[in-house]
Amino acid sequence: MSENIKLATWVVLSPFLSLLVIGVFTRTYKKLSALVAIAAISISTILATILYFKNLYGLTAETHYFEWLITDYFTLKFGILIDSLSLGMMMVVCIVSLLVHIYSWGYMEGEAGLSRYYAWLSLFSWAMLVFVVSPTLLQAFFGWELVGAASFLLIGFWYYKPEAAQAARKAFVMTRFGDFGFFVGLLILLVIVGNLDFHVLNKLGTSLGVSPRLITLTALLIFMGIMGKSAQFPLHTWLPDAMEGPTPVSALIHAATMVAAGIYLIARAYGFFSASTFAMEFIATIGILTSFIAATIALVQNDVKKVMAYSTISQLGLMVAALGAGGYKAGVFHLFSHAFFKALLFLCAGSLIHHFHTNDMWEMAEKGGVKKMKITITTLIIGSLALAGCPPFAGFFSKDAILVAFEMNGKHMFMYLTLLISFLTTYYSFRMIFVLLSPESEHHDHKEKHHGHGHDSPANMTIPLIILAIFSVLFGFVDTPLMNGYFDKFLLNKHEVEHLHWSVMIKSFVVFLAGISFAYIQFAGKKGYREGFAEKIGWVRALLVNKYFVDDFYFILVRGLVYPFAAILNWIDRKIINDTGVNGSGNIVIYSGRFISSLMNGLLQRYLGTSLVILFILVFLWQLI
Amino acid sequence: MNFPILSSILIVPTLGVLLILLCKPEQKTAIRVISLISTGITLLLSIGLMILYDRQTGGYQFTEFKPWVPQWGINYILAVDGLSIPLVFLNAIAIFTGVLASWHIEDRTKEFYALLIFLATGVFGVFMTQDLFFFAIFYEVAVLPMYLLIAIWGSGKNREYAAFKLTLMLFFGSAFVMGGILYLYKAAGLNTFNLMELKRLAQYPKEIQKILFLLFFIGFGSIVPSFPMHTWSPEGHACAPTAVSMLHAGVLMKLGGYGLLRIAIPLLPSGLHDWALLMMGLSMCNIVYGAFTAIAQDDMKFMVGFSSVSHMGMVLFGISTMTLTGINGAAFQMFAHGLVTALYFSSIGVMYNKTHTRMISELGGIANVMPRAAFFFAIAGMAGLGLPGFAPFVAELMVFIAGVSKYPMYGIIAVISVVVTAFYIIRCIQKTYFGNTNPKWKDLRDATNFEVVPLVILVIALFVFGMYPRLVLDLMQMETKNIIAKLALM
Repeated sequence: MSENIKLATWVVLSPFLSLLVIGVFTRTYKKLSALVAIAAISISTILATILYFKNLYGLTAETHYFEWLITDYFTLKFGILIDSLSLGMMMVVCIVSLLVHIYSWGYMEGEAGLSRYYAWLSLFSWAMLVFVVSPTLLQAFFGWELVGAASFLLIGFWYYKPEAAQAARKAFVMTRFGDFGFFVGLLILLVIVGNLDFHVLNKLGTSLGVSPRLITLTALLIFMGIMGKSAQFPLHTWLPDAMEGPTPVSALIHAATMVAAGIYLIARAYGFFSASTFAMEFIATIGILTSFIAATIALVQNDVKKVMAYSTISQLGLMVAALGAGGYKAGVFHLFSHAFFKALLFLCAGSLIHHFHTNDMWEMAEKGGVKKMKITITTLIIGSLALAGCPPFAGFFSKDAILVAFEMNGKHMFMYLTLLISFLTTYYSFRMIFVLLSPESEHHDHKEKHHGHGHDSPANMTIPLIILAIFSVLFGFVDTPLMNGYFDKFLLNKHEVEHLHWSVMIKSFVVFLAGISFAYIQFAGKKGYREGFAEKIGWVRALLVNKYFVDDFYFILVRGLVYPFAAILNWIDRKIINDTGVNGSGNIVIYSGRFISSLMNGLLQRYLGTSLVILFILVFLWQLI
Repeated sequence: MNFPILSSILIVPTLGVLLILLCKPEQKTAIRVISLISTGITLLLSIGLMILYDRQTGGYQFTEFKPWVPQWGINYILAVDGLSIPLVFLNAIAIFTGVLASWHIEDRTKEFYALLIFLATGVFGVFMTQDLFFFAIFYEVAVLPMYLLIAIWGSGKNREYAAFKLTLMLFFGSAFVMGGILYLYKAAGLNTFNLMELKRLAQYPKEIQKILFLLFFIGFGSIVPSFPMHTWSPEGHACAPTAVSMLHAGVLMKLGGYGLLRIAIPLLPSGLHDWALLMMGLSMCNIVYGAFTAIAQDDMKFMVGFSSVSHMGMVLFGISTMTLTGINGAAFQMFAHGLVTALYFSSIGVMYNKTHTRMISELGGIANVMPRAAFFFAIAGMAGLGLPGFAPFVAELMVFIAGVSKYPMYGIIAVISVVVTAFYIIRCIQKTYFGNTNPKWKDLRDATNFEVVPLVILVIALFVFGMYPRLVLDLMQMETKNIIAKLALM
């Protein structure tokens, strides 16, 4: 085992050990459990950082396997794969996870189930890291399912809230539905190719004897899983509901890492996916469609977390579209930068919710005092600027990379759609900001005394915000000539520095300005509830408020199809198989027994009659023969 | 001669039963402790088997041979191989945790424990004997006490009907098995019931194999249970006391799959070729139909019962593929499903002891008052729906691989059950444990440390064998390879 692999092994194992320690020893000591989990993820982060600095300019793939299951025509292996992509993702996961762990210390203070909370966070971190370092599709599936379970447990953390319970169930079942496709795709590949190593799958397009149709079929099946986990249309509706979970969880799982797992998987198996032109077209189309739909729904949301959730779906859609259109670097770059600024946005939202005890931006504005939460509101603005793609924040450069990728690959339609989506993104982000900053209503003084408003959240919550804000400001520069195109060097081992694409940048900046001024005109400096432009047209409003009726469709599907089908089968089982088949044959035995015993009731006449009948039958049969 | 470890596995619980019978009915604690000690020793012995079994040599080991009725070729033969050791271990865990889970039983404690352990002894016998005559005897011993256990200690007004139906259907099956065994004995013409001899020497013509295999398929199929002979299972579980459900779904159902793998397939390989399609078709009904029917259930035990129907279908599906992966998957599924249903039923039992209802519609928010019971049911559910990291995932993975390679279309249909299973399990967790607590349940007390012990044991087992399946899979593979070799000869 090489040094790199050893380090990576401990990065992965550390949260798992924390899960065990919490489960076995410290579960009754809340603070201790939290410390154990934080210590474990810190160790992971430190080791990952060491690993990163040892391989500052990327590395070629190093793998280590052990045999998990051996059977006749294949061996299923688990292992560790370290290359630039997994190293980068590992860093992102560790950093965000560590910050969320620390932030939760403040956010979840006084929570009765704190040990459980930290245990599930450790479970999640472990599963996510297992997924990230996986050298085979099977291990990826393994981690993929486990992060899904962790997500279920954490969304349902406040299980006594019916909405949370419902949301957890929906998230699990819907992603599981997608995973059906993933699993079938995996099985078909395993049966036909006999090997699930990514390095084999990535060369499948060029290897002989594998039909392109098979690749297309399996790629689409696996993409079905990605649609579930990365919340792509039409399997996206679980993600907004998942906001019922604690906000730090939303930041970690439903913004930065788990939902990005699908994007990571496409990047990981990029050779495999790009071997099928049709699959890539399909992926790109679904991505851009998702992005547009989610961005429009975000326009009418009043819950800050919902705004961010739809914005997450929208950004994930962009990444998927970028990868589908051939922009490998652009997709991965946006994945990393989005992880930072979206985690930041969610943690800011958490800080606001912690303070105001409401999710509704209008109510927050009503209560007033947002401006006094200096760190929170500053970092929230930084995050929104990054999300909206204001130069020089992280989102600007990564979105720029996506636009360039579309342009280079001749997808002009996609580029203009992305610009439109950017406009909507800027608009809804700053709608939120301007609403929150709107002048306070007169009676806030009275409330201020009551709630002790005017303080910011405690330091263990604000420090993660500051760190993430720094990332959100600076991360974008890694792909600029200022840092000699560092990101290209790291990820692609490419040494020539790319120029800035001024034409695209200017377009994107103009769109940003348009979005922010539009939001400014409609929302800035005004009191009370106001409708945005999307809400003024009746049918648009109806469409958006009802989220394009996708949820209603599922509701009808489950209520009208699944439950009745189950009820019919149950009726068949009870009435036909059991009552008629099983009890019926029993009854035949009972009645024939009664009949025969009635022939032997002790009366001579009956015996004589019976004998005569039998005699007749025998004679008749004899005649027949 | 070495220490007769296999006979000890039979004798220790039998001694336990005898000691229990000597106790006075009032000495309940003594009875429980005797039960716990005797099953505990058995568990240790079965772990010993796993460790001491020589994996290099393989084949039958720890053989004990005593002539019994030599003129008819009946011998007392005990031997275990890679296929039976995991099942012996499974049975030992199930009875040990079952004894712990029925600690609260106050009504006729003495008879309850005596019957329960007697039943488990029969199951041990089935898994260890290599003589068909003894197989038949142990098989009956394993089935018979079930009637009393359900009819006397069961719950619900239907319990006598359920017990009656269960016993009759299992005897219906065992009649076919008996007939089949006698036919095997006669048709081989070797004047021996010795299964090892028969496997080596007996040659059955194809036409006879065809008939005989059908007999065994009906016989063993009714205990698996194969569709449409499954209706005893949900009802039987629902009415049975916790430990009986655990043993029943955990181990007794495995007698069917084990019988097929031990007797029917090695002796009658061409019979399997003749009937594989039928088996596959019925198993598809089990898997998909069972899963969908589980959605419609309100009684949690009915739901788990139908999920057992669905998951035991995987065993038949795996066998019907006639590939090494499929049969490995089937064998592993028997083991994994045993652990998972034992956990299901014990966690439901912990709750039922307090609530006295299992109706999903009447419960709700139980996690607020009984977090432990909820936690363990959730773990069972997660394992049951095939979450990686737990043993059932490994089994399902292998069965599905084999299924997709052999019958691609049906294999994919079978995978649908993964989604449906998630649907009903998660629905049950949400409706039963999550949400607001019904005021009726506000004062429930959570499971005690002691009650949790069996649950913890099962969770550990599920996790260990799920993370490192080779612990048992390599064992099973030694024997399944021979089965495949026989099948390939045809």
